[in-house]
Amino acid sequence: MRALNRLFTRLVNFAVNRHVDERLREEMESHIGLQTDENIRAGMTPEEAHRQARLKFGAVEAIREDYQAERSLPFLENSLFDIRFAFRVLRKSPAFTVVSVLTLTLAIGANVVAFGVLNALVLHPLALPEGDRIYQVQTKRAEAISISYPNYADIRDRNSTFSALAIFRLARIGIGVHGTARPVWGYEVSGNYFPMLRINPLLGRLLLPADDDKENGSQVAVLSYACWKVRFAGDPGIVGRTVSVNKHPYTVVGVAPEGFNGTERFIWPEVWVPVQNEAQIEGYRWLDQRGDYNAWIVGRLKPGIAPPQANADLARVAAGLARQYPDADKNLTLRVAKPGLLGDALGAPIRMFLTGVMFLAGLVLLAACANLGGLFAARTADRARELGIRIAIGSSRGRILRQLVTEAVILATGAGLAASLAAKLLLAGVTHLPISAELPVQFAVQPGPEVYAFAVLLALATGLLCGIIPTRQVWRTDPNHVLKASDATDLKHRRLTLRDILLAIQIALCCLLVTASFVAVRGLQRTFRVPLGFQPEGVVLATMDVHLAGYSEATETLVQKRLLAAVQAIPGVRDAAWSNTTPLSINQSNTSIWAPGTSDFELASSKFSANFYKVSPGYFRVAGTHLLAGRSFTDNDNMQTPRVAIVNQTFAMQLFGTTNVVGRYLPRPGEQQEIVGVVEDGKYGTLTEDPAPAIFWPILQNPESDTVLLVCPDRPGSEIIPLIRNAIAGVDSNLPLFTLQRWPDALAMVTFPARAATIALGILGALAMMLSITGIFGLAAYTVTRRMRELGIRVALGAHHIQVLRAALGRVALLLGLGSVAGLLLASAASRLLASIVYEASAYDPPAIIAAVMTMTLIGLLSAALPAWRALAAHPAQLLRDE
Amino acid sequence: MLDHMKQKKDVPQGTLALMVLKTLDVLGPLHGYAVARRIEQISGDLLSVNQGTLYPVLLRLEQEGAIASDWATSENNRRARFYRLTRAGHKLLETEKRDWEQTEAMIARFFDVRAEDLA
Repeated sequence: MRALNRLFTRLVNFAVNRHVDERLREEMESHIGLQTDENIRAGMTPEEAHRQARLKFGAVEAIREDYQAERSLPFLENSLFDIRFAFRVLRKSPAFTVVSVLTLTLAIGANVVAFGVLNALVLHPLALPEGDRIYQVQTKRAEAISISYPNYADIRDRNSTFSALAIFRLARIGIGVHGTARPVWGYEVSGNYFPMLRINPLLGRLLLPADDDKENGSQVAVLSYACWKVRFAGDPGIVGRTVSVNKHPYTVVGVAPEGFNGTERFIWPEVWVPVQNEAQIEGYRWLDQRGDYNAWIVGRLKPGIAPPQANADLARVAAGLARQYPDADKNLTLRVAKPGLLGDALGAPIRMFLTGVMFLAGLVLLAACANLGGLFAARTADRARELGIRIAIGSSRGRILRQLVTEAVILATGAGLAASLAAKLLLAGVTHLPISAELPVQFAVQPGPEVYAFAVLLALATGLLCGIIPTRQVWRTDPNHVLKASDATDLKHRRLTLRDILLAIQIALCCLLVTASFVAVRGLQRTFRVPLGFQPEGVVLATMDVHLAGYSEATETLVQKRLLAAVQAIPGVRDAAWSNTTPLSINQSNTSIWAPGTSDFELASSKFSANFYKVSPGYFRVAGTHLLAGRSFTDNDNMQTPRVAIVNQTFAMQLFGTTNVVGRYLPRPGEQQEIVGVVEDGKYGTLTEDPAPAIFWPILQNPESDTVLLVCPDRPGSEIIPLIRNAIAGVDSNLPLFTLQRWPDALAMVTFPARAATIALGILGALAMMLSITGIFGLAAYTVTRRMRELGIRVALGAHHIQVLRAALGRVALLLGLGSVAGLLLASAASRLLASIVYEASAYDPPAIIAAVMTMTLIGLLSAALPAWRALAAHPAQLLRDE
Repeated sequence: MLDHMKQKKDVPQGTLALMVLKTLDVLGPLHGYAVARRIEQISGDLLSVNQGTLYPVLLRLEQEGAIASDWATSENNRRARFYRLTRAGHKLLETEKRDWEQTEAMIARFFDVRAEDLA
């Protein structure tokens, strides 16, 4: 109770902050007065009496500290005092303050942004109830994430580790709104998809197992919140309304809650439909094809089951399926992967890349800490006299250290605030970045509370780290020495100090990042010069699905012919052609290829799988793909004439061992196709792939409603695009265009990872460069200042300029050299990581290395120029007089 | 040897507080200077503390409610803060005194013990 009372009184005292010394001063005056009176009565002179009274009273400062300690909350009060004092000190050296806050802001900012993206895409589970138990089931090959429906059904029924397992397939769906079809992403899902995710509807109900129990059973759809709000203006009566889904009437049974955007982070569906309606929606039935791998599985692990247990169980299921269905599942492997980024297909590289960037950002922050630690150490050395005096009058070293750490933490906190703000703006900008793609791609990386907590922790840690670097200096400060001696003669500079090592590390890091940036930029440059097998420059693409405008298989060829004619008639259009899809777009399809003479068309006996394209006669001309042998397709390659195909070089080599294959026959299930031409190789799936086989079929023999119209105009895309839109609308105003854009823009998505990597490396490299410049400058300037007198004496004794420079900056040059060599070695070690992200990146790239070396030299020259100039200006007489 | 013995002792905080309480108990309200003088006299200059160190102790006792204080005029016309024991202070003094006597008795017994007593 007494302690509580006291605490309360102290709290009050602390809060109201009465004049702290008032009462003590009064007591002291009265006490000393009384003692003086008595001393006088004892016969002293008034002066002597007063002096003796004061002596007897004791050390006023110590008593005051005691008194204050009794009075209030000393720790808090001291902290407030430290903070006030720190602000005063920092205000007195604005250049130091601005430089350190800026440095830390950039370094912390880079980390917060990197963490923000990492958190949003990797660390944070999908925003679902117990989302950390949701996993995707895929094969062991990272990029092979699709599973066939029959296999799905067996895995679902035979596994013992998932409480529920659902299948879904991403589909482009045309949703009819006010009579026109709008292209959106849709998921075709099994009936247990929503129950497995434990999502509750915003309106109506979600899809249930009963909706998905038989083929084309119930034509029902669930809309996303965004779809309901934007396309249906938030119509409160939406439940029960009929909308057209790819021209089929579907009843809206419910709306998903606002925060739920499917189970893929980048691709947000606007509509969910039962997967059993697959044939109706996509016009192609795969549900009973065990070899048709084209849907994704997600499931919820049972409580207490860890991924390794699930993997073991899945391996057992896969082995069983391989035994039971050797034709289709001979090589089937199964395992779990984190969901959201197309399993490990995108997830693995993204995780690796973001972890790498986070690591580099951490290194940059460490470099910044080293840099600032050096600055603090220098400042502490310069403040040695002040610190000495403070220790002499009774301040403890701990108190002084606390003061220094407070300064560092204040700087870091300021920087952390600025960095959080900058990161918030930047990430919000990235989130709303329109990423060019065939359909909208989401990149939601808005920072959450974790990100801000991370920023705060980082700022505090940084402040502490910077602040404790001068600890040894403070501890060794000897007031006698400091107060007696002038601060010049310090022979310790011969030894390698902590500061030197910090700088060398910093330079190595900078060199690594600079080299990596150059290598990445060079790789990116080369990426754009890789032969693609087609010429995107100047070509405009219009993607559409005539199916969505109500054309049947019987009429689609006709309307495509009319559309082609209409576009070709636009003045300034040189040529135009159809294809079902274009290389390097997201929409790639494979087909199994069998060797000549095969009669057994089982999946297991196929030779390989090839990318296929269904193209119209003018395609190779418009796409700029060179025909190496034979002929292109003509209008005569139609339903009435023998089946034909054109293959690329790799296809010919892999199947026939020669490119001289024109006139040979290719077996297909139920038919033989004559190879009429051979075209050059190209890139089909990714820029980084090895040469892959591809086969082209005439679209007239293989009708397709979902197509791309390639237009080759003789004027800029911006002028021709409206004309194309008008021409298409002139044929059918209800035909929805998925996209209408220049081909290079459509390819932006393909080069996005490489560009993102280059930009990230570039930014981190620039930061590291800045830190190196300030670091080298700091050390050089400091060394020169400390040794000015020595340099003056050298000049007086007749040293040449070169000797003065060597004395002044020799060590800095040595550190720069050592650091750079270490950085270059590290960079070549890191090249393999880089090569997996940026195509064609190689650290054994002389121009990149020369550029890096030149940059480091330039950094050295830039940052050492001013100190060198000062060293050369050392004027002996002047300096000696100053002492 | 004697010189050594006469060296002034640092007074433990708790002891000083107890002395303050007892002084105020015996002599009634006093100002800080008088308290300091009394302690000095009674301890025979052996405990000549830095007199100023008394004030943090007075402040603490007041915060604990053991003493109260008011400004008044001293016998030779100087303004001074007079301290007096409160009821809580009396109780505190009693407890402390008992604790002290117990400790003292115990220590005394330890010093009286001879080796043969423990045999």
